[in-house]
Amino acid sequence: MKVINNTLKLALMLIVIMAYSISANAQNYNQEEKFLQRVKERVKLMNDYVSYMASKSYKKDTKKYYLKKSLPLFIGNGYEYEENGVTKKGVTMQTTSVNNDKVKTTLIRDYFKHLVGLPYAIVDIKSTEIADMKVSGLKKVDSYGNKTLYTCTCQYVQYFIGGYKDGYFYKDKTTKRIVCYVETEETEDGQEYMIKLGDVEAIHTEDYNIKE
Amino acid sequence: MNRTDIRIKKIKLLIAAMLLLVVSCNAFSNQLDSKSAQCDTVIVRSDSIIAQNGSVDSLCVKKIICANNVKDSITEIILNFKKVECKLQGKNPKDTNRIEVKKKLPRKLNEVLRYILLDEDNYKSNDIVYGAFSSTIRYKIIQSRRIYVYAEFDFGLRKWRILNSKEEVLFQWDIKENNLQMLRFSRVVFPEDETLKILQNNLKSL
Amino acid sequence: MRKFLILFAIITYMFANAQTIHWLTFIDTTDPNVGQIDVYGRQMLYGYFINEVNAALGIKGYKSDIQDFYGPRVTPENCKDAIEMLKITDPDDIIVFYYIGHGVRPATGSDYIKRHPYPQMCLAQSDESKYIPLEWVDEQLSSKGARLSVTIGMCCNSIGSNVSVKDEPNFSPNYGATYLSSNKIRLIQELFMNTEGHIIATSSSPTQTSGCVQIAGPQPCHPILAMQNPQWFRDWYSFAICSFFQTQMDNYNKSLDWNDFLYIISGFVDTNTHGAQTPIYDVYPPKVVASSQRTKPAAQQRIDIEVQINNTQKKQVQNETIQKGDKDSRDWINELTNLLSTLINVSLADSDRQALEMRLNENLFAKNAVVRFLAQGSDDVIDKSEVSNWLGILATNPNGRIIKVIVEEGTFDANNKIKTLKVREIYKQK
Repeated sequence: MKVINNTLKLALMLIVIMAYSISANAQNYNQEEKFLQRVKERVKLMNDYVSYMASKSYKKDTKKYYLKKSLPLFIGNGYEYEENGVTKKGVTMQTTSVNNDKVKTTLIRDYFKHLVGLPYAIVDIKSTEIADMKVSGLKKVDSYGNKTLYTCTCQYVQYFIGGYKDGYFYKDKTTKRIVCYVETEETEDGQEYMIKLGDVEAIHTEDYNIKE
Repeated sequence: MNRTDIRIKKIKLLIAAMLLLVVSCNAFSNQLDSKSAQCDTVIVRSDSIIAQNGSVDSLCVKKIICANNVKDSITEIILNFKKVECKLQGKNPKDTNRIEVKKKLPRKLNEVLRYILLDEDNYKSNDIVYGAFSSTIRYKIIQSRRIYVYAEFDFGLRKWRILNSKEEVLFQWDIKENNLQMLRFSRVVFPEDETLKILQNNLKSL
Repeated sequence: MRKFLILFAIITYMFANAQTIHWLTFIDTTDPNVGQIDVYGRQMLYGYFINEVNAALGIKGYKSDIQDFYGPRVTPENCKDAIEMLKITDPDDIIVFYYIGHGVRPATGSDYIKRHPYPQMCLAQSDESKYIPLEWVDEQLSSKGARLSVTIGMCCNSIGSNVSVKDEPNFSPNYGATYLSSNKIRLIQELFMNTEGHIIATSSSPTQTSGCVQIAGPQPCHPILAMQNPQWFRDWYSFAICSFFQTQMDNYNKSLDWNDFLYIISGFVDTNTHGAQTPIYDVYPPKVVASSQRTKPAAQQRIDIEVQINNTQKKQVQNETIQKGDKDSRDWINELTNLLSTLINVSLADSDRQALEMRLNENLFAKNAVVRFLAQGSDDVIDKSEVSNWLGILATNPNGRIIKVIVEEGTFDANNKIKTLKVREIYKQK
């Protein structure tokens, strides 16, 4: 009898919890959609900076100015930041090559400096359009006061082509995944979000047909 | 299972049933009480078309839906009215000669009015539209000295509504198919009225 | 280097096109039946139509001038004043008037209906002597000397028995974020920049009512539930326009003029309401205006940025908040929006934009000011940033990705500087 009673109580509790979480999820779904769209816009903006800094059509001084102005897109403004109690030197970017299996990890500010001074005569970097990017759901990382930190990842493809004056050119297509930090804050006016970009991982690199 | 266990089980079931009864009665009486001051003249059967369709006063209808097996007073009034007073409203600016504004409905027309008002089609919907209700004609439907309702019609907007004795709007519906019919009826009551004539010409021709 | 840049910017006059698109929107958000629905309708209209048009035209150098009337400011007096006081400074200007609210037409003979098929606007009040005919608005706006004027009335066109015929208002005048594809940008530019003349349109034919579409919630929807959930409804006509912008324009590969556009919108509404609501429209060539009345083309306008910034700063009031749609908000909102449009304009020299970034940061914004980004079509805050970082991104704007920044609200500190700002950003899709 006792066992039956306890089982009934547990079942009732589970039903109540499930019903509550389903309704809460439904209310939050539309909100999440809106800032996940914003996440894609920020990632695309970062890729636009990458294209600009690599391009040989602009003066170095201008590109250095763009470099400086692009860093606030990242957590820690591209410099030191703390995550789970650990201090990190800065957001990192992984780069790869079709010519070898090495994966190089560089601080984002150094990567951008490298882009500005690429040794090619012509460089063109393109990336996935906003509509074709894939964004994962949010994962809770930390909570402090009325703020909560989540992460999600955004996957895109980058197409690189660099040409020398002698006609030799290098090209590759890299699938990349960037971590995005979403900090939510409960305010008087409702929930607010702040989005910052994080580490970029190179998942896969291959040669590609220019017509792609 | 021994006798004691069975008894305990029966007692638990009885307590659960009593709790359920108390909760539902409270909910029922709370809903009735909350609007009684505002809707005490309107009770509609929950299975009637009036209860199932549009209402301006939503709380009033909520109460009505819960009230099963009670008298439907609106239908009662329409079925059993003794007389109707008709009053023209909303005069057209071109109509300079409006003299006769109030009239008692001839008895021989009572059944015609009853027939039109009880048409199911008049209670089907109350679509949201971007036009404000402006009454062209009002019928005071009287069952007795104290029991009466008003029925107002806006033929241009194709809507009609019922008001209580305090002239508070209780329900509003679309009168799509019967609009011209009701307008024609009103013209029979007020054959000389220019406003109704202009309206009918407009609505017939387009 | 920095001083040189500042000096360079101050003494450099920026040659800019002076043409403007003027918006006059009157949206009744106070009516007990449709007011709440129109609150959402207004967000939809701005989010999915007006802001996008401004973004597409901004690329071609058009400034935007928005007069957004809603809430208690929707009155016949305000409407008449706004129309009569609207000034056009360039013959390439565009005017768009958009009304959402109750409407009605007088009971008349059929001849009158054929000659005057458009309704009168109630403008959130029930005194029929103050209703304003839509045709009067078209008449007024088409005489201002702009290249194109568009007058749209989203309201009923049903007959009111007590409504008088009006050619003009009777009462005396003094007594009340998103992203665009290149195809959509092309179409909007074609629609607004390749047309001369005046256009009038309304959401229903004479004697018809204008209704709502249900975009969410259970169907069929009980009327009680409908009244309690205005966010589930939008007016059909504005929904058709925004829906076309959102779902068709990216892939529409023919050319688009106003006849095509309004034909599509009318067909959409008519089909979906099964003929109960058929919008009507007329597209007219430009009026012949006496040469003395023609707007003279503005000389390539020299805009001293310093003067512009000072003018904007003067309107910033200590410890106050200016919100779009508030009385007296128009100038500050439009000026700051236009300054930010200059900042993101990639056709201007980088050095000019960098100098402008510095001036805006120093003169208009407080230290540590915060900018909040609103979602397209709602007031949800989807991101925020320090203003100094944000201005840097606008001043660089690689590939011209950001095509429009729309200012919604600003709050000022004790030194008349902006401490918080709410904006919407529109991005180019490709």
